[in-house]
Amino acid sequence: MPRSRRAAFTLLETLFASSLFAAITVGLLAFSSTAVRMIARNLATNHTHEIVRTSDQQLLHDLHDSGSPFRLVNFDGITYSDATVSATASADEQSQKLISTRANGVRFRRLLGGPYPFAANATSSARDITLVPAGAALAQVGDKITIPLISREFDISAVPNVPVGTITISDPAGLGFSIDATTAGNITTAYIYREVAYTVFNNELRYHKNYTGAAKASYSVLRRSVTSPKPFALLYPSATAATDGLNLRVSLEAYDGDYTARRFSNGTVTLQTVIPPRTLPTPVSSTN
Amino acid sequence: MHRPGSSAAFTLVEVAVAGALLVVLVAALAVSMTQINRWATAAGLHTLALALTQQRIDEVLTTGWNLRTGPPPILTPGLVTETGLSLNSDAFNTQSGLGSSFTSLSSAVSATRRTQITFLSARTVRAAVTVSFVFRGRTYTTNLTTLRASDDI
Repeated sequence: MPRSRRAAFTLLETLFASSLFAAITVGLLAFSSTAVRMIARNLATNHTHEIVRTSDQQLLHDLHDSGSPFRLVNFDGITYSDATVSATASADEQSQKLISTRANGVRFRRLLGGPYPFAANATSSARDITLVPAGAALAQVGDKITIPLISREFDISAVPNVPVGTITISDPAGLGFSIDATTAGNITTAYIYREVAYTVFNNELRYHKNYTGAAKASYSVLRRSVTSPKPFALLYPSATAATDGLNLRVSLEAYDGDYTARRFSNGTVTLQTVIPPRTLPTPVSSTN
Repeated sequence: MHRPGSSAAFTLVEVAVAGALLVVLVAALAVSMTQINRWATAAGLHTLALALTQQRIDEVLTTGWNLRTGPPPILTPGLVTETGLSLNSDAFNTQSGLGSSFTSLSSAVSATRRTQITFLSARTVRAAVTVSFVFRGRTYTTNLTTLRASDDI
């Protein structure tokens, strides 16, 4: 049998093929590493963007809806306390007003329900008022009730619900006006406002739907990967003037550390804005 | 049976063409992914620009306007241009206790905000707010428009 002249590769062919294979392998590995990094960066960037975008939408919706001025609060992991704020030397770029000392929480009042018609007459000195049952069913101690007809607001100190629909206001002088709710054609309505709060702790943006008494410790986590420790501040018109509490400055920083521990340039997104209640003057004059 | 002289293996030209195609493909993928990341960053900046636009709209809608005392400065007719506004960072967050280990990762991008106030009647104005920024040589713009009436009749 004749021996083939090309029965095996020459040394040169083998070396060339090996070199080529090695070069391609190294190239693909390098590309693979770069591709993984780019994909991770893309995920981090998009996720951080999504955190900030949805947080912005939620904050805009709820803070625009505020029925009272804003009050800053601090949470240290155990205790929620009102923050003592004052103007700093830093001027907000967007409004040119002075930024207060920062806090990691803000509380305000939101409309819980209404209008609820009065279901019974009330005298000027009355502390018990009777609404339609649906109103009293929602109310709790610590809520506020506003009665637009007489332009007054009261703290709710008890909800006896006897007779059905009855709530008690804290003002010892009573309503200050007589309400005739039974004459045909007379309709007097009331609105109930509850205190709510946003806090940032442990890299979470939290919403407290009932920031009252022991219930204030209950919250729902809106977003994670929030990295700014104290995102909230109020604005002062000058170093000596008081704040009206109607402009909440938000500086919410987010970085997605869930997808990757790498520190990507431009992976951090900071939302910087000032949000006021949309209804001014606010229906409830005092957050407390 | 193997016949001497036949093309049982790839020729150098074939390997070179295949390699070149692979290089082109890899390069195209790398460029694409880089571009996708730039678009992702631009999308984030666009959201922040919208927030900057929204802030001015909020200011227009909520600043008190008493007809007897006249419109507040924010409602002065004409065009107001603000330049160099921080878009994706808060310079104050570099202060102690206000930032994080990620704060410094942002490459600051600044924006220009233009507010055009036009009086439609004695007690009604139209505000058109435009925020623009440049990222990687390309200009991005957001716009919002609103109407505002005085607080009292």
